[in-house]
Amino acid sequence: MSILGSLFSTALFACLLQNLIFTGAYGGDEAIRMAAKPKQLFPLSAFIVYLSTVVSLICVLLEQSARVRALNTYAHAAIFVGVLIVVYLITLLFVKVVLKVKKRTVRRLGVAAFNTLVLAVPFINYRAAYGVLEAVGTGIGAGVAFVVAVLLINFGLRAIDKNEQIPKAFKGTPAIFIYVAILSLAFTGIVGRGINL
Amino acid sequence: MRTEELPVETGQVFTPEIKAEIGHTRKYMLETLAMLAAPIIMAWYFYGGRAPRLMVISVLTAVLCEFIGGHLIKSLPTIRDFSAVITGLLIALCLPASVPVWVVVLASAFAILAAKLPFGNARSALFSPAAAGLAFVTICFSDYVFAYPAIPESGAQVGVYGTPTFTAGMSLSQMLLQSTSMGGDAANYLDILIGDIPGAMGTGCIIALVGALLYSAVRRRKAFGVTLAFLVTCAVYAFLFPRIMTGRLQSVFMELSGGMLLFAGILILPYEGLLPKRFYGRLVYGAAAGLICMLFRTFGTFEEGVVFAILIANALCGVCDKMPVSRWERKAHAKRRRLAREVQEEKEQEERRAQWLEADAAATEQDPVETTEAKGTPETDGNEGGGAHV
Amino acid sequence: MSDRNRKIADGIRNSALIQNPVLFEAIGIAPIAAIAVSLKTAIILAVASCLELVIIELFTCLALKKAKSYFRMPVYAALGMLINLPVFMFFAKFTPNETLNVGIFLPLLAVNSLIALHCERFAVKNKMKDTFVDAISAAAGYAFVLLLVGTAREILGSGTIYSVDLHLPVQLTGLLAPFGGLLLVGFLAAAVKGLIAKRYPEEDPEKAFSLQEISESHVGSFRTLAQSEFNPYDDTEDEDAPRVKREKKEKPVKEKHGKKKTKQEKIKKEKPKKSGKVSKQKEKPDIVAAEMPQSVPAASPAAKTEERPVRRARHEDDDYLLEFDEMLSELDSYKKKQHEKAEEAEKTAEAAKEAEKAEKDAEKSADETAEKEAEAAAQEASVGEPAPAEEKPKRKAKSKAKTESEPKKKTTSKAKSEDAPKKKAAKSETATRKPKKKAEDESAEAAQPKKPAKKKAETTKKSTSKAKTPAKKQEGGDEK
Repeated sequence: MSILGSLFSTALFACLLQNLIFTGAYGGDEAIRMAAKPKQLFPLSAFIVYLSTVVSLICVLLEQSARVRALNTYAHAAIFVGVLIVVYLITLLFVKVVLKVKKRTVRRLGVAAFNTLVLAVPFINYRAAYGVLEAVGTGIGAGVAFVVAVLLINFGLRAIDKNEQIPKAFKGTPAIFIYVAILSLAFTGIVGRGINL
Repeated sequence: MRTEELPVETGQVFTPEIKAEIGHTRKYMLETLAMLAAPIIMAWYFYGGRAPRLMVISVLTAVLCEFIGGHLIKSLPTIRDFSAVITGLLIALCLPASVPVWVVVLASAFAILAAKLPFGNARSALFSPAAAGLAFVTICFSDYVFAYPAIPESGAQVGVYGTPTFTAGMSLSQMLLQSTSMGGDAANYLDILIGDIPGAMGTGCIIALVGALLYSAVRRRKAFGVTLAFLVTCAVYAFLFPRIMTGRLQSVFMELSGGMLLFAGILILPYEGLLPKRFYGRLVYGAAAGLICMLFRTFGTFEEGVVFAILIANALCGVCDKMPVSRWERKAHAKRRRLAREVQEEKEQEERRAQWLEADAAATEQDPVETTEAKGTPETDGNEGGGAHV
Repeated sequence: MSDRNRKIADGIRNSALIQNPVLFEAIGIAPIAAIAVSLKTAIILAVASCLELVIIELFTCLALKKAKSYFRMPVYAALGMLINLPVFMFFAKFTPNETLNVGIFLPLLAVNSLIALHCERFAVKNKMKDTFVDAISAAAGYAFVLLLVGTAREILGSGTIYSVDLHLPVQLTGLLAPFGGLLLVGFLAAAVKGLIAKRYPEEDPEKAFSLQEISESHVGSFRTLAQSEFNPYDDTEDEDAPRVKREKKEKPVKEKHGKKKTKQEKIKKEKPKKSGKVSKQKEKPDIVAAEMPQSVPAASPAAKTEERPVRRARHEDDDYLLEFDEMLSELDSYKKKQHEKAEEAEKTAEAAKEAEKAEKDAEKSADETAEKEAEAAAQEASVGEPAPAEEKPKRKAKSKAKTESEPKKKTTSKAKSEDAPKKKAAKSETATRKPKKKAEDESAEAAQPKKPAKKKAETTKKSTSKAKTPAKKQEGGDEK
């Protein structure tokens, strides 16, 4: 139960209290652009949750070895990107050869993988020195946080689209940015000033 | 409407529709002002001259920002609908009396410039401006916003935070944070109800706020529904997860009376343009705001999180609109439509009758000979025919 | 040369200003919002991202044009990392504090969506020169925004500029948080949009970020999501597209027919499944669905207009449906009333004419019959009783004329009063036929007393109402 408890608590923390997209602006641009394409929401978020969890897990497992721990930040960065690329290629192979999906699924996978959010999770684990379970929790939480963020921004985009009173200078992206800014203001209220890695 | 879209021939800046809209908003805002009268007076009573001064500065800043901002982005001036005035007042009443002037100015400016103007006028706002302004100031200057002064003796001035004249007081929300109970004396309860306890300027006097709640129950049913859902959710949460050890009911009382919860629930949460249209939607809206507020209070870093909860609930307003329609609402709508249709049908029948009468009159004018012949023969024959039959 | 220069200038203006990657396309916001909190960090980020963008775009244009898109993505990431690490080490050496502040975002720049999007859009499809121009201008636009936002945040948030204290009275520390960055980017975008509107009024920066899908859709069901296309990089090499479009065009015919067709669609795996819950709708939504496309503007693609009606009918609440139906029925009833009025006017005119004709005919026939009877009477009877016999037929003829005119008047007046909103208009042919019929019937049965004439008027009324109802059904069917 404690395993599940720590997993759950870190996941909840990562997705609600420390919603990375709003408090740290990780993956913010992906969130805004994906929120404007609501049809792609579910498949993309499924990929992101999967990728963030797997990458986080693998990086933490690698971190367990002393050799990797001894390396400096640059090497860690290189390792994380390398892990991401490898996971992406394996998933791509699996998805193309075994599942024989269509082109659009492959494109979605590409966007989901190379994404500031997915790459930020191993860095957070590294900086906070999380264990395996907590790292998995952070990965799941980050994915769910992305879904929550995209949904909230999507609701906002609908409201902005319907709103005809927006001044001409603010129509389009300026209003969207200010909307997301005020949303992230609301989420920042939980954590204080947000995380600064 | 933007000025370039207005009809050029009439040269009118304010068309009747716009005037009607502004008039409607102004009426709403004047009602809110009436609801705020009691908290304003109590703030003046407890905190002396500084309270109205801060309120006036806040209002002036809001109006000035709306004026200048509106001119910069060339939008139709809607200052006449008093929404800036109300925003300024709400912001000032949620801040402690010891707050420096520039904090109030910043909050008002942010509220109008960043949360209201980019999204249009008061009716098309996507976030409650007062909540946004307060949230900004809470994050930037949290020490100033949560340092409540002790209530000064009559005639004494409230010291500004940061100056030596400031004396800190223990507010309810701070007591809750430290899990200190207020004690079971009736005198304590009375103090809290009257507002004789350190806190934000306008949020202390519970009786005044209850009066505002009753007013909204009578005059603004939709807003009252939202407020009720909000308060009930907060009360239930406080009952289930009390932060103090001396009893759940006391916990409920303290949670509801402490901080800006009651004030925000009655006056900031039900913002005019942001209420969901459906009954169930309004319930969910209020309940969501209440739940998030209590979660912020329990797990957040700030002692009062209701403004953040309001902002998140505003974002969820669109979802609440998709709630199913309740049966009585459906019936009420159908009845209204039926009545309107009947009225319209009656009008059309009358119009038609008038038209036929006109047509008849026109026809008699055109062919008087034929019609008189047609009319004449029955009349002359009627007697004979009647006589013959008889 | 001037043409080429103009092209280059247009290209620069387009990529840097009108389609500024951050301000109008919402690309690469993460570093700006999170980390550009001071001028120094902004400089570091700007240098890193500009170098990355230019080098990777040129490399893509040279070497990666023929590679598949899903292989290009990891290459961008790897290359980005390769370029980032030296920059990272360089800055760590010279400004270690600032590099610490930048934190993890410097390595995260390797997966900056700016690179991926610009490469997929320009580098893969254009030549070296255009790619170079685009890379330089996009990098310049991005760097400009970075530096501006960084400076503003530093001045307002920390009260310093390039680490030099300005001794400002107020420091808005909240602006150092990500929401401050987003806010400043939003206001900057609005300001730049205003400038573009003044300087280049024909250009529209709003096109860069389209909200078209938002206005046309809702968070859809799994089926709609599974079948939708996805083109983040405007990739036009899409083998699935033509097939999908054809199938989409076939959709509306099937969807109108209800359950069975959707099941057939389910069986056919190749065809993309769309909103198949048509069976659960009532008839009214189908009418709404059928009539909706007429009001939709022609500019939107066929697939989306076809999707819209069904989805709206399903997810739009009943309130709107009922209101819409009422509006339509009111429109119909209004049109019919107008039609009715015109017909009534015609009817009354024709009825009046017919009445006159009938009267004249009746009088003529009455006269003729009276003459015949008079002759017969004269032939049969003696000379003694010519006058009352003549008078009686004359009276009878006049009474006949009277009885004929009265029911006619009654029918016309009752026809007027019958024109209540509930009954619908009859066709003009039947309307003209009826007065003639009435005149003929009444002239043939002229001998009968008033009451039977009244009864016949009632029966004719019933026949007219019966004639009206089939006419009503016909008209209703035509409209549907």
